[in-house]
Amino acid sequence: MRNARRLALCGCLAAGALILSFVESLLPLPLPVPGARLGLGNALVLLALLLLGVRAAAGVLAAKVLLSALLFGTPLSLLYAAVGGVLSLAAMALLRGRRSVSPIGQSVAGAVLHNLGQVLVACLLTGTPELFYYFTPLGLLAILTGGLSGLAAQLCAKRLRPLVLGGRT
Amino acid sequence: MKKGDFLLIALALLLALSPLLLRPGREAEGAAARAVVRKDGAVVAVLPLNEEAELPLNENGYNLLRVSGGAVCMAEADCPDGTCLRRGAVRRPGESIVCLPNRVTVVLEGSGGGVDAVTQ
Repeated sequence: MRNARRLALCGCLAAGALILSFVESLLPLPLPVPGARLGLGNALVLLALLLLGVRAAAGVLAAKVLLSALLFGTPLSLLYAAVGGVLSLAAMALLRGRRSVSPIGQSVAGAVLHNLGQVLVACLLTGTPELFYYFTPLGLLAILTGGLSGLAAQLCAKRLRPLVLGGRT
Repeated sequence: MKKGDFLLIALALLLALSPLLLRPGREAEGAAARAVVRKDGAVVAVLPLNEEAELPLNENGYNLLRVSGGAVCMAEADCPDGTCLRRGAVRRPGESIVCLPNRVTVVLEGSGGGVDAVTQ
């Protein structure tokens, strides 16, 4: 019973992450910086990490990255999202369970590394090392958006935890 | 928010600001001399900025680059995000215009050095 519950929640989180990615693709930020995004989908990857652990979070991430590239992306956007997503999840997973770090810090670290990965992919794909300068505005934006989505994940995790633990709902 | 969060945010700030250390120095300020245009990672054109010019790029997406009055701007593009168009005109060494969907980059260079002088 508990496994079914976890699986269902995993699916809900993956669907939510996909929807947020879609909504985000409809609302491009009016910034002159390539690749600037809110990173809302990451809040649900973090939520999966907080509630269900690393393997579930990796599943949600994989579903989000693969499906959003398939539905509204390109093979190239898949590469960007995959590199950024893996780095981001690695950072968040490493910070998991540390008492002095809340989901907000986890999310900020994940968001900044996500952007670092994407900037490096852009430098390599375009053969233009100067693109690394864009990491400054992207990284600063990531601290802000990562902090907010971390807060969102923290608040959701608090309310959803009883559901995972199998209490009455 | 906990103590470790502030530490992580401080680290993230430092990391985000680190590219500023690599930027071309003061002597590179002023007007740029040429624009290096790359498509799919290969240099396809080097445009001198003292000549008016238009460069259309048609393979794998359409972009029109315009050199005018010592500055470069992306005049037209068919990319979905339009980030390159919003970038406006650039004129200083080290500045760039990027169209990620069409894999086009334009980097401005000063008068000294070769293609990679700005990166050093």
